Amino acid sequence: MENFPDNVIKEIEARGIIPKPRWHFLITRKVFWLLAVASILVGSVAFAVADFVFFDNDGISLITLRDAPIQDIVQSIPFIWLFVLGLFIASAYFGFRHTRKGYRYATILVVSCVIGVSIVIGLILNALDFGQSLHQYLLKHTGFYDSLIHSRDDEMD
Amino acid sequence: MKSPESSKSDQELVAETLKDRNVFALLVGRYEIRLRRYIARLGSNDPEVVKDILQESFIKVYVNLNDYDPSLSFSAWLYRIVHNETINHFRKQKNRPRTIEKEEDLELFEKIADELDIEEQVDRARTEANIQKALGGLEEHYRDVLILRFFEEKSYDEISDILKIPSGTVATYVSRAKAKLRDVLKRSGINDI
Repeated sequence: MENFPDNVIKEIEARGIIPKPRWHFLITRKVFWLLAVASILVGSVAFAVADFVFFDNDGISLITLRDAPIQDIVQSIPFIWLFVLGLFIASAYFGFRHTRKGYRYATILVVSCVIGVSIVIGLILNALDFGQSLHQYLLKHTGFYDSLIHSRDDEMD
Repeated sequence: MKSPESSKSDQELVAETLKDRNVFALLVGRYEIRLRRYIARLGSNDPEVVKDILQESFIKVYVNLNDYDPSLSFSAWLYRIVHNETINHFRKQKNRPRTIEKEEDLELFEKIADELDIEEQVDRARTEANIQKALGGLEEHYRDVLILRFFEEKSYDEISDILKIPSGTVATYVSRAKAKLRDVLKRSGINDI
């Protein structure tokens, strides 16, 4: 009668298989953590610029938001930055989900935490004028950014 | 008489396998029968195919031994690899049989009937046959969870580790799957719930 465990060992020997080294898995796991953290940081930058463009650059505040014409509000929404934020929230979720125990947490919890952390870091970055600096840098040094984002800067020129 | 190796934990045997591959045979022997049955329950009725899937699974386990996290149960990690290997096999074949026909599982259908609060006066044999049929009709994710819960007797946390889904989702799937089974049985006039 065949001895299955021995057959498995013989097959392993015949194919010359050895266990993959521990560092291989350590690197793989680190790559996913790195992806998650880097995505949150990029998402935070996107939120910082979006926050600057909407509230500071376009002069909309929480007080004027109620009275401002809806068309102005819609035109001031920095869709491109919100798109970038969404993209990197998805990327952070993907990275976290592929960490060793990332699957144990509910999607809604992970996505909420990623959004929350991105907003907090984004607000801090904007308080440090990072959002403004990046917005103005892109306006000055790239041709495409101006056409991607509706800015009151255009109307003032 | 038990050999000293047979009293060792899975974790100890994993550590020893990394030094001496022959120790791996002990781990294979420890789980072989359970996993053959599990692959069959997932839908493979051909013993040769079951053997091939199991062999490839154990080879994958051996290759990835350094990835094993001792904070997880070895059994859950092993079931995960076997589950994925079996599902990959079905995907390649583009066919996953939807029946569970092993005779030894008949008493487990009875157990599911108990879980569903099937009333005593109905014909148990007919009910169990209907559960068997209804299980085959469930969506894969519900069926996989029910097989692990009732046939393999795994806890929600173990199922979470095997299928890589949150424990809360496992609980939701079990509850929905039971509701669906009740619904199928109700429609077939077996149960009055």
